[in-house]
Amino acid sequence: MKRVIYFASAIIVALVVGIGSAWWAVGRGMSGGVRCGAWHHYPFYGSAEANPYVRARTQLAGPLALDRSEAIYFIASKDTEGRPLNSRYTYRLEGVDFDARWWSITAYGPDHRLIPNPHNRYSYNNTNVARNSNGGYTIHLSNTEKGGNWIPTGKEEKFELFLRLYNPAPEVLNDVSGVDLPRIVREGEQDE
Amino acid sequence: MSKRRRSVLLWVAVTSVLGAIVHYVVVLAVPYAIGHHLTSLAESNTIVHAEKPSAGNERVRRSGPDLVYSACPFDLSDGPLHITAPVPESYMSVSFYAINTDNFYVKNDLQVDGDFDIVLIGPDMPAQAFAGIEVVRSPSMTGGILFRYFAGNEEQIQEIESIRRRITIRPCGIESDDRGRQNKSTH
Repeated sequence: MKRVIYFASAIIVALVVGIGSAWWAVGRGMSGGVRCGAWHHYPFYGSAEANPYVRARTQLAGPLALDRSEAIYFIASKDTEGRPLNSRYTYRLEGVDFDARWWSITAYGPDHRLIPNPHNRYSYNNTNVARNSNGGYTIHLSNTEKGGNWIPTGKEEKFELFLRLYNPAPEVLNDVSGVDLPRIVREGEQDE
Repeated sequence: MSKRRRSVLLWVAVTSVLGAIVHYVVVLAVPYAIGHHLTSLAESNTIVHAEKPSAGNERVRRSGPDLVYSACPFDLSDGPLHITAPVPESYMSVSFYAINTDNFYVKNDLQVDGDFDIVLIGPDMPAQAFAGIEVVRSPSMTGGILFRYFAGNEEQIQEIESIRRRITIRPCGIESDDRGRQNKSTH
């Protein structure tokens, strides 16, 4: 009987610790990658070459990504000064076009899903973003309506931005650190 | 060293090794679990045309709201599949995913001459001669096919709606005039 308890307890503890630690390691979100200003790029996001942890994390957060030969992705969960993006604040995203066939910038809630809003507005892309006189663009991020390019950020507090570049130029694929990524500037607290 | 102390150390060692094995197996299993879940969302070898993603109707997390998706879980148990898809004016891609969600193939509209015309074969199937058709070998017998269409503005959606209903996915050798019967709408 003692022997049964001895081995059964080892198996039970191993299962609890093994499953718990795996869930923690996979569920704590992405880490590492290449940092480009406020943005992070994960070279193996969507790739069969990703290590098991990156593969599991990306499949949980956003499955069925494309290999980087077709599209590359940048994720921002902090502003340009390193403060977590939070819907209690308004932000101004300032950017220019990318050397890719097309691009889009999307806001997702803390569950990595689109943020509900009455305008059904979740993103901007190179064909529908309004341009500044210099050819660049400014997108306002806030939970109250703004003029011009505006993406609602909801009331869930944490949110993230996801930048997709489809068919990026070879120069972009060779050196993502050279991509001129948008600045995410915190402007102030939301008006209640 | 006392017998009791040896016993405790052995318990700790056995538990640690088992815990590490369980940890790694769970991490490796996550993509397979997600792949099995995604392929269970629709009938095998039947295409599903999803609505443009919006809050509340997303099939998967981080769906692209500037894209319209059509998807098909595949099962090659009954042999290769023949996939054809017309190409729209704007961006479109066809991508294949293994059951562990690895993206093992992707091609876009600029990389094909005319329509997409592909035969998908299983890991151990002979690469038979299919004249003029691209043959792609899947690393797993089951998986998923995803068609992405750029729908950056509302005008493009009408074109996409008509063109994606002409996608065909059939077992090789079986051709039918009734293309609509293969298509299943989620609308």
